[in-house]
Formats: sequence, structure tokens, C-alpha cells
Amino acid sequence: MIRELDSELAILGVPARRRRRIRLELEDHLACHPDADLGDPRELARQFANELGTALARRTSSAIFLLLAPFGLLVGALFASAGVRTESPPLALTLALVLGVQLAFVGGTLAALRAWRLRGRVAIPATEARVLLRRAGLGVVGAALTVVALGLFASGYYRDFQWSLSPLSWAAFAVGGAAVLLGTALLIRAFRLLPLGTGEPGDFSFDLGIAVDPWLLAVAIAGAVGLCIAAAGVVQGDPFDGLARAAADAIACLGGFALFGRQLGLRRQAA
Amino acid sequence: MKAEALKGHLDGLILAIVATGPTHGYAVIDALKRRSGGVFDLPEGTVYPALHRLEAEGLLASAWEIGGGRRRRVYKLTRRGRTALGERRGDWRLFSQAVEGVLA
Repeated sequence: MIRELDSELAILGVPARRRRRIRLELEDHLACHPDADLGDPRELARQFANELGTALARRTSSAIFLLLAPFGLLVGALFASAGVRTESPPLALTLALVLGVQLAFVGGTLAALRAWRLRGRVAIPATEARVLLRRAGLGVVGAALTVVALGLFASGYYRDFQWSLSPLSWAAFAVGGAAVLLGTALLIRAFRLLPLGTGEPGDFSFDLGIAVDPWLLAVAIAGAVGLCIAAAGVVQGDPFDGLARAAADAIACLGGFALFGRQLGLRRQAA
Repeated sequence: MKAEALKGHLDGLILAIVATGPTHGYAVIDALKRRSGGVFDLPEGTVYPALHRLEAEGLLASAWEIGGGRRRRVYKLTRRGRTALGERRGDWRLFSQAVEGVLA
């Protein structure tokens, strides 16, 4: 029975070290009670995969959020710090930085939010686990983009930019780089052991705990983001630039929701 | 009692048993059966995935120990596990009182 269980666990992606531990525990169990009924090996293997895969997906999502949080604080501090040299870097680099920061924030926050909503669940559907890990993956990709941009600034590649050769840039680069590497390793491990249950993942209304059409929520959030950016433009004395950036960001929010909403568990497939 | 009927309660029962002192998988199953007067007689393998998951969630910690001439994995409650057990006990009291109120 134990040999059969072991091969089933291997098929389902349970790592060798975990399988060895399960084997030893069950051998000890049988030594205590030789007539024990440990159940059907295939069913037991599925139960292990479901429960371990659920716990792993949830923990990975929360861990990636916690890895990205200090990086986010350092990048926030960089944005807040005023420099003397204010020459703008090339557009592609600016875009990578702005987009990367936002993707990291959105992906990390959504992953942590869904993990929190799923707390206490013994087993979640495979689709839900994939949503959790895709969200966390989005956060890691966003952080990677930001780290690349920061590396160019920190190394002094653009000497006229205010973040050039700054210790804070180096600190953010190091913390972000470590978060990206560790986050990637965690994601690879979690994608190897997914739960097996069937079912539909929740949507954005499930994340927020309010029964409203996810599209309405997306419009409301895009509007709120746009308003904040427009208000910042007014404060900075350039309301037209603020309005243009507000419109671009709101459209990007809605575009992202339309394009990736299903993969990220923000909206369900239309019936 | 079938495992299905215990759904949602098994974690709390395991935490309560491990709270009495560090213990291994077989002893958890044995205590579950004994303390329930034989009512919770589950397929014995089903408790191990729950033990592994509770450890992955940080509610239990485990280590290999030598007992009875054999290596065995011994589980103990963590601080988070103790808090979770307290919450589950509170939830159960509320739930059982409510059911009792309706059924009685």
C-alpha cells in the first residue's frame, strides 16, 4: 500500500522529501497497528495533494506579498525623495518603472487579498490555486521590471537622473532583486504541486466581500485612481498633465481588467 | 461516523488532541477514537494529510524523535495553533448552542 501511495504522490507532484516523510510516518503507523486501514492509496494521495497544494498556494501568495512589501516601501521612499538633478530618463525606462511598480503593487496585493479570503479552506479548486499563483506571479514580474530599471539608475547609467548613484536606489535594487529571485523559486515550487479539485474561482467581488458586479467595481476603482492622479497633477501645478495621466491610468486599469480579468480571477467567463 | 460528517471540525479536533502534549500520528488517531467513545472512527490515513496541512499553515510544528526503538514524527502545537484552537472552541460553542436551541 505504501509503495503504491508513494508512486501516486510522485505522479501528483509531491516532492521527494515530503514523500519520504509520509512513507516513514505511515510505516510507523503500521508498526503500531499492523491491521490498520489506511484507506485507498490513490484517494489518500489525492487528499495529500489537495491539502498540501492548497496550503502551499496560499502561503506562497502571502509570502510573495511580504517579500514585495519592503521593496515597495523603498521604491516609495525613492519617489518621495527630492533630488537636485531632475533630467528625465528615456521613455522606455520610465514606462518600465511606472508599469513595473504598479504591476508589482496590484499583483502582490490581489494575491494576498485572495489568500486571506481563502483562509481556513481545507482544499481549494485547482483553478483557484492557479489564480492565486498567477496574481503572485504578476507581482514578481512587475517587481522584476522595476528592479531592471532601478539597476540602470543605481549604476549611474543615466547620470542626470536624480536617483543616479543613490544609496537608496542600490538598497531598493538589492531588496527587490532578492524578492524577485526568492519569489520566483517559491512560485516554481507551488506550481509543481497544485490541488486537484474542480470548481470555478471567485471574482473581484469575492475578494472585496461585496456582492457587486465586478465590472462596476473595476470602473469605480479606475475612476478613483484617475481622480487621485488628476488631484496630484493639480497639486503639482500642472492640471493638464495630471488629467492626461489620470485618463491613461484609468484606461490602463480597465484594459487590464478586460484583458487579464479572467486569468487573474477578477471576473468570471460570460455565461 | 463518516469522515464527511467531520468536515470542518477535524482541524479543531486534531489541534485539541495535540494541545494535550506532543504526539505522533497514530496516537492522534487513537485519541480521536478513544475520546469520542469510538464515534470518530475515521479511515486512519485521512488524518495524516490534515496533520501535514496544519503544519504547513504554521498551526503545528513537528520533528523526528526516537520512541519505542523507532523514529517517529512528533507534532506539537505552535502559538498560532493555540490561538486557532481557542477560536475554534469559541465557534463550536456558538454553533452547538444555536443547533441545540433549534433542535431542543
